[in-house]
Amino acid sequence: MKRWQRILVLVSSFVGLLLIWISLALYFDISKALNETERLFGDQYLVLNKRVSVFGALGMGRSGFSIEEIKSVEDLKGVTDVGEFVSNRFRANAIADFGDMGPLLKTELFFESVPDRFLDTKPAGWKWRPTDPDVPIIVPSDYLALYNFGFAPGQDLPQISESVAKMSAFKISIETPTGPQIFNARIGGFSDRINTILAPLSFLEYANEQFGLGQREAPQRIIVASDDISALEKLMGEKGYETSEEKMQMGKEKLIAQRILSIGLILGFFIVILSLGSFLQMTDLLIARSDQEIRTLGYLGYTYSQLSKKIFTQIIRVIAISFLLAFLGGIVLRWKLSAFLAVLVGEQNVIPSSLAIVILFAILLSYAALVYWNILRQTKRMLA
Amino acid sequence: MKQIHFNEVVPSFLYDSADYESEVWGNSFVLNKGESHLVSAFSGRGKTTFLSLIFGARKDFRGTILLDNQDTKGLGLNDWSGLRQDKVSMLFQNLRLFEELTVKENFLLKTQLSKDFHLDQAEQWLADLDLKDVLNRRCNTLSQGQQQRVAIVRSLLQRFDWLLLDEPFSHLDKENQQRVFRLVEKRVAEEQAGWIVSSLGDKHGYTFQREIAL
Repeated sequence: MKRWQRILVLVSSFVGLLLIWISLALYFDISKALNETERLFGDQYLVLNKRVSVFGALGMGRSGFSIEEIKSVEDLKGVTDVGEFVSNRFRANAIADFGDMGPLLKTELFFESVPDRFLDTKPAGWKWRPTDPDVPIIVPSDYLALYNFGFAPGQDLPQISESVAKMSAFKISIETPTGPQIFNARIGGFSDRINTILAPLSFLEYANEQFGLGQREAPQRIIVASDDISALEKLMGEKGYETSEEKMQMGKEKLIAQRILSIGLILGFFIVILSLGSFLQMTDLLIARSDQEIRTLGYLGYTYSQLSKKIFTQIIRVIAISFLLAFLGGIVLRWKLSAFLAVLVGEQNVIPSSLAIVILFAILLSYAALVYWNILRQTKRMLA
Repeated sequence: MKQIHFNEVVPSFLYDSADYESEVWGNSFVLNKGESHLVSAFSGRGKTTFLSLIFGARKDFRGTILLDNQDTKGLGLNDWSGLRQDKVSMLFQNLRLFEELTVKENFLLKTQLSKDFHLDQAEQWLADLDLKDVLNRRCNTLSQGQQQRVAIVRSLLQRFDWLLLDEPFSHLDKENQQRVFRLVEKRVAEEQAGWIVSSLGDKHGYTFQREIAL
């Protein structure tokens, strides 16, 4: 094999691998920054409502979504799923009774429900039945943060972890013409995705049926799962729908990050496949040029697999060097760019996620396996 | 491997010719282990082909060749590799030495594989053939006659039931021919092997148990 061929192959596989490697590492960084549940390449969830009008404020005609309006959102490009919010149509209170230990706390309460497939957390007992001992409730994570970082320090109260908060039990009192109906309730989980107090759909349907006042109304809010929010954004502007600006912005940033990473990954794979091609060609050449030597070794009694191993160990060096260089290059690059990365995705380890390393090694193994298979095939053909 | 059976074997270069007179091609016969054979013919009659068919280096023929009872057409690549490791050894007419490598490295390629013999053994045999201090020389710095003797020693560096020597004396003087005969006879006796020498017709002053005219 000529020196410049070896260097060319080495450089091309190095560049391809480096691209894949840093894209992979960045992908896992960003995924982590976006928190465990909101996956980078997963759907973005947005809660939509109509702009509250003056008439609505005066109680004249509520601003619900009609069936046609929901359908038009469902049909948008990039929208993968739409779910309706169900609200309580009864008056309810939450009661925390500490007995002799403290005061009786009582507050008015509302609930909403969405279909289970939109939840980012599903507490135990979420499939509620009337015979169940208690009703699990999902509370926004923000509420706990508000208490821990806003309320508790000022009142000299201890901070509460999620698991402690989940132990707190309270009662739900629903007003009915025949007096209050009491249900045991507990905090079952915290949601980053949906900023409301969620009860199981089965509970809300049951309670609305039993104690509800008035007719079922068009949903006030809908939740939309989308992998590309550009079409949705346009429709929202036309129809005057609203959503959390922050989430909308995050959705756009996610989209840009997705695009950049996708291009990096695709380009990287493309270059790796090209370099794999030249690798295979290089081994073909090497074997073709060593035709006489390989035949002679075959006549001396070497098996084709023994010969293939000998040839492979020569070539694996080039593969190993390019992988090692790409691996180290990626880490050095992360180290050099760590300040920049910190702004983008928060403080990160210099060594990327172990999953990224596993994937890089999987590529290395399949790469080497393909080259070995080609050598085996060529050697076998030569000795036949 | 006690016997080699040839059953009406015709090599591909004779497919188109109708009349050939030969003790080998188109005939059936058996070669027995423990005997010495001379295959003699003019150039182009297929001496190398004959040895290559037994060695599995060529497979373009009609008829059947049985090694003991095994049809060679049923042998796979790994079967042939196994046979060449300790059943059949061959000296090639073009020697097939690795010219860029030293004599020692050439021998190591053989001894590392079968592990039955060692380098000092090879060095002794080289001395028997009047070659000294060549172990560390690259093969392409040796004369044809020296290379031929190196290749002969390499072919003896393994166990075998059959030793196939394709024109082993072409570059050797009378004295060296006799030295080769003595060494080969010794090794063949040790292995209780059969051997086949191909020649242009010259018996090199040796009495073979069996002579075959191609």
